[in-house]
Amino acid sequence: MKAKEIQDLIDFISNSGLDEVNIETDSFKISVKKNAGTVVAAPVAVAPAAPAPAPVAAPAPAAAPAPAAEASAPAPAPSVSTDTIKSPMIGTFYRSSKPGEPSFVEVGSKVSKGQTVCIIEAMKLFNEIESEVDGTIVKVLVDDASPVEYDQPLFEVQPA
Amino acid sequence: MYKIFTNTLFLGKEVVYLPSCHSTNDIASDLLARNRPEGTVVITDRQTAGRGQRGNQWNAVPGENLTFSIVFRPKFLAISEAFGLNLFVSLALRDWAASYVAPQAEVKWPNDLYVGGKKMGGVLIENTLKGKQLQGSVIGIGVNINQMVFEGLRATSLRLLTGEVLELRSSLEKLLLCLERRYLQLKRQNWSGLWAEYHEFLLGRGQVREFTTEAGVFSGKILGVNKQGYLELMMPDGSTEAFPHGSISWVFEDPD
Repeated sequence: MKAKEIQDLIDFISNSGLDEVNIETDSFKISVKKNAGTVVAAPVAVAPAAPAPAPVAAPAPAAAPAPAAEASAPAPAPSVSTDTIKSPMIGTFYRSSKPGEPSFVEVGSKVSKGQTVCIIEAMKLFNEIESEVDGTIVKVLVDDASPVEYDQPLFEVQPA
Repeated sequence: MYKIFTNTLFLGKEVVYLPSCHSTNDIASDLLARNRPEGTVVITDRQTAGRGQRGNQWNAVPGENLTFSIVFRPKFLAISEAFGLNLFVSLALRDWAASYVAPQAEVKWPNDLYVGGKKMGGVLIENTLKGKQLQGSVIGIGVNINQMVFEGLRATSLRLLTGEVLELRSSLEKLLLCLERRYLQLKRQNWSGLWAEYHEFLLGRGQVREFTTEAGVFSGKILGVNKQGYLELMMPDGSTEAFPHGSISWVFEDPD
């Protein structure tokens, strides 16, 4: 995990309603406490696979952004004061601009008002749906390529 | 580089010609975001990653057909009226094709161009929204002009139908005129006119056709298309049902 990713995670947690978050993966373990005023980030070699020595030639195809998404995913999504982005129409929900492209947003992505977060296809019309708030995506509520109803919540957003 | 001599008011006054590009819709989306004027056309001889509907490729032999995209700003349409885009484009394609091969040109729900029961053109529409209104629309159009061979596809071209080699540029100029005329009709909110003609030229209307849905194969009589854009069928038991695009497919008899 890069320093920047840790920073983003801390920002995310500090803006959330959570007091304490503990995240553990194969390669790291991080514990963030809010009201204690201290941040403890201890890299612990839990699994035999040691954390990759950062620079160059990473043998594994997994690139940096993936663990970031995984790391933030297990954080229990607070239902406290979150907004939802809802579907303005009946249609099919797509997370990327076209098949094979990366998703517009992931859990943990910062979004600003007017930013495209997904596509809803209806009657062969592909509609880019924009966020109506500034904030951070805390939950993706619908699977890619599934049908959605009018006004159905698509994303949970922690307002900035 | 690519000058279009046509009597349109706004369509094609600005043309971006690319000998080869990934997808004209992607370029046009970028131009839309950069506030290029409404009616800007992006055209190419060769699309390397041409797209039809999501995941479907659009393959055209380089230099034989028209593949282009247009930037529109249909801010006068509410999201609930977005089907109007399918109405104007498919009618424009039909008008244009009918000028060569009337009266075989038809609209296949929701927005394909069919001539003599075979596909001659397809459309890919990508919209941006602002609240409950449309903001921008990139309309990608592919029509078969001089291509002679469509292996394994139920497709045709103007050349196959007319027996003549057509000049691409003049075909494009004609098509742009048709598109502008229908777009202005939509802008005037002439819904009754658009719907009446859409139904008049709707492929299979009033006929019993075979369809498949998740429930299986059945025969239904095509009654029309409702305001939401759903295909309305009279079911075998005499009831009426409406199907959104994607929930139903046509079963065509083999052409030969």
